[in-house]
Amino acid sequence: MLLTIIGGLIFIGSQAWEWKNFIGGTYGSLLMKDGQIAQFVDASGHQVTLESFVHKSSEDERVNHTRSNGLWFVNNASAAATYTVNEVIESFKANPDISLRTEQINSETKQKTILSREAANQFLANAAGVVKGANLKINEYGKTLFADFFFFITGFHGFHVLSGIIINIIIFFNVIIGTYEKRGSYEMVEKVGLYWHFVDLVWVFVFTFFYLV
Amino acid sequence: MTQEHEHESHAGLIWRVFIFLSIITAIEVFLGITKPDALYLSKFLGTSPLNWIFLILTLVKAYGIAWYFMHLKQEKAGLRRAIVWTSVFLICYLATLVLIEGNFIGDVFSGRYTKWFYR
Repeated sequence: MLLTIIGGLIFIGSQAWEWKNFIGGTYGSLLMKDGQIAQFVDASGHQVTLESFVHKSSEDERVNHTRSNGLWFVNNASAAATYTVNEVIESFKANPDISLRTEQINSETKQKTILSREAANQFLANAAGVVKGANLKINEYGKTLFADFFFFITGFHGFHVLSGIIINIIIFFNVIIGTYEKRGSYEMVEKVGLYWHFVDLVWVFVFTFFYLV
Repeated sequence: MTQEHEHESHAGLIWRVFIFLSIITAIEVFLGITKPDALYLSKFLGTSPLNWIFLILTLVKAYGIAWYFMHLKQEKAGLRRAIVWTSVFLICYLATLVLIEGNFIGDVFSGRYTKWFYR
């Protein structure tokens, strides 16, 4: 029972860590006017971070929001990405080693398409923003719809696991103090076990369809 | 479920099922990380053999959980059938709907409705 509770906490912890990484972002990418996402790769085709090649220019005229001169109830949620579109475009043009990768998947190799220099310039001309991280509105890894699905499903599942852990803890202490012995029936342990394993059963399918396939 | 079953060596069975499920998960994770080309890039019945392996192993795991952890094994045959065959029907139904909708989205992405390049 104690092991189950610990295992549940480990699961929730890993999930929280994974969410933190996805929301914070890994590489950063470029958002097009029509919603496409373009990512940056080096000469060997591996994705590179924006930090590794983009230089900040001194002409960034964006101002951080402060509560004293704007909406008092809005924090500066670092809504402005670290780099502006122009900085990314200039740095891309200055770096011949960096290429642009689109979301279009080649069905033969199952790899995303890497663009030629001319096609990449066309992309840059249509760039609308710089993306770092993923949430329900925008997703540096690809389609926003997938981020919506992913966070929705894993979030609900994680919440159920959390309630499962709390119920398990209650049952654990109830068994120790002998509540069920006095009641003469361990039926409640059985029911909670059924709940816990149903949530487990759901995870088996979530894992397959969101992580493996 | 009856009281006699509770007093069989349950702990041993639970650990055996736990290890069995862990091994299957380890295989899935290993295949998911390495993605061997022979399984990943070839095609079998509409999708890659790798996806078929994942789907089948997932169903095996679901069976293990429902049968042993959720004690379906000790239920009466009638209830068992009611649960299993309803699920089988619903899974087939859902898979059909998802395949139809997924095909539609696949067509949109591969056809003339999606513009991948700017000119």
